[in-house]
Amino acid sequence: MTLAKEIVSNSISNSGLINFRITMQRLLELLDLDEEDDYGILRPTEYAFRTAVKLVVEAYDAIGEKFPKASTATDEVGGIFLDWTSLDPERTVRLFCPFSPERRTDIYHHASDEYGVDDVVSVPTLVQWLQWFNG
Amino acid sequence: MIEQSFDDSPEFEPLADNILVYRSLRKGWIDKDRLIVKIDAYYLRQRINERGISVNFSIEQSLAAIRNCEGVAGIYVGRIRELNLDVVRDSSSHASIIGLPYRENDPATADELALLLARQSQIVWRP
Repeated sequence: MTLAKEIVSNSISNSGLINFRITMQRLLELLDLDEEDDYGILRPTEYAFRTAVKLVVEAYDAIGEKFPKASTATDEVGGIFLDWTSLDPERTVRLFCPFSPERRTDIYHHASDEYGVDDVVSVPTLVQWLQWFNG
Repeated sequence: MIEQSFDDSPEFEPLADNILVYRSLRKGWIDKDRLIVKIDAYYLRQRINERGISVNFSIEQSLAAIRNCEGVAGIYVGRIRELNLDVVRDSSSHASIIGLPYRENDPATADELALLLARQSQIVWRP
């Protein structure tokens, strides 16, 4: 393998790890937010945070180098949304981790010709939709 | 869909399709990788029985609407109506996007409409 090929190969094999690290960093940054703003609760609940971290870590273990980078946000009651977005091709996967176990964790997917929401009862559901996202 | 009881106030004409309305953006509502508005910006809050998404008629009004505003999105009234939603004016500076369900009741429709509204929006101000 030439040096150039090795560099490209290493870059590809590290991209999932880099994306995972960015996603985890964005989740951690949510803990530094003010507790509330004018819209509602801003900082996630411990339940939402633990749910999100567990799913992301286990999904990365399953997907590895193809793990895509997510953006993060909280809802007005302390739940967490993670978004995987592609504009071309148009695809979105959106994981919802609720503020408490009283509500269900779910995942929304959207493409130009379809959309839907599934309950996330286990990591394979998230992995399946991230693999769909990757195409 | 949510039962709406917004009445057209006689003092305000219906909004024309070419009117641009503005939405205050909270922390986390901008996709900083792509500089686009995120879905989060267009959910109704069931906790407070919110019946419409608040919008204003100028960037300045939106900046005054919430503290620590992270940005302002603009969206044309006609684009909102193309989604079978509507925008009802209730004061000289405020209107509401109506017709959305609560995510708690109908997550698929709420997510899809919020995504389509986000995709029709443009970020018009950032700090």
